[in-house]
Amino acid sequence: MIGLEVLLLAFLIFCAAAAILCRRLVSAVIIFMAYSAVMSLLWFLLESPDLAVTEAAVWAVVISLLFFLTLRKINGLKGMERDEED
Amino acid sequence: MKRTDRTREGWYERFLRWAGGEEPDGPEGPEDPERQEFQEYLEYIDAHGYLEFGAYRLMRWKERKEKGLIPDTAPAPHHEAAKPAQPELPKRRPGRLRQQVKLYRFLSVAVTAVLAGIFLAVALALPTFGDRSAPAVNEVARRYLEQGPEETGAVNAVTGMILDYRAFDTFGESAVLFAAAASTILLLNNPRRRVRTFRGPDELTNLLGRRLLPVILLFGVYIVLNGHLSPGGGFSGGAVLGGGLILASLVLGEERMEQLLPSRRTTRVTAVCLLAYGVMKGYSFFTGGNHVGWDVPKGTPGELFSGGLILPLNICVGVIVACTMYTFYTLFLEGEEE
Repeated sequence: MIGLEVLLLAFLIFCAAAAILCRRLVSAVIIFMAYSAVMSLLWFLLESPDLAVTEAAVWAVVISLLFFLTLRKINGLKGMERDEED
Repeated sequence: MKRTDRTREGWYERFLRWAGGEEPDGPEGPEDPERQEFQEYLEYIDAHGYLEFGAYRLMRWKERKEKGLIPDTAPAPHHEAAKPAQPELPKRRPGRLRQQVKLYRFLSVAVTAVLAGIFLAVALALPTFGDRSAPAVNEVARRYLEQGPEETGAVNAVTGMILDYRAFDTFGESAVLFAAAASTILLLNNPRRRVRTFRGPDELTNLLGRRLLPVILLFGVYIVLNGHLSPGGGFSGGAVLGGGLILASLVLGEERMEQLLPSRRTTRVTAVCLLAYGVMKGYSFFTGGNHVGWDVPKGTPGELFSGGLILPLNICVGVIVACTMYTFYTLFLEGEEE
């Protein structure tokens, strides 16, 4: 169990560094989602399942979706829209 | 009428006369400088394209001055004094921007490193996880854990704490959420520019969403209703419900969701829930800080209908959170100019 926690924590630090260092904003948001998912797992391992549910619902879903919508508004998703050609 | 009266005759008539080629050696004579100039002008526009006569005269200003066509008292077209004084440009320093960018990068790294060091030092100075002598482990936490189920009727100590002992804090949090939603509505709501751009969901979203949606909504309702019995409560359940509503909007489309759950209704429901929360918890103000005098029946701890007012309070908080999340989503989606 300790090994799993260390692994998850290492992944957390990796995600945090990658979210800062990656150039595309979309990738940063996706990395942020991964960070939140792992964080929610860690909350569960720390025996606070209510926080785990909140983390998963608020940060991994709602906030990330708001980030995506904002990126779409400021044309940060250029080249990724499925109807870019027409 | 005497046409040779040059002072009376307008420019236009004279030009017409000259351009028509009449009177090659008219009363003015072939060496009339103005006429000569006009013929030069005609040749010029033949060669170079059309140009206003005034502009042509302005262009030839120096030559005309030499020929004596312009009186000396007339102001020059490029008068020095008439020019507005040029603002003095800052001295160009090559490489200055690059230096600033370098300084910015260095400073940002330095500030981040210093902050990270401070935070790590503080984290190392904290008491270890589960330490008995930590300052957080005092009589307050002991009382919450030992007498919580009796006093609040909630099996889940966390919910008993945040919705009974500290219900006023939660009221403030809900009010903050409501204020955030209200300000977002004020900023982003624009009914005239409501462009719906829904073209049907993806195949994957459709396939997964339609199967997952009922499960997610049911899970959210379960978390909200069982907040006093199992981990969770109004906020987490409301967040799950809000995520479910957003998924519903993705699967069903914004127009269908606008029919099912109009934005006016979500706002109204949020306000009503906030008011209900305030009324339900406001009685503590009138009966004294310890709810003395009017006690809501607690019921048997562990049953669904127990815990006094915790269940309705949980429902209120859950509805507020879910509606706020959904409102944020719809408002951010709206008004896309495509």
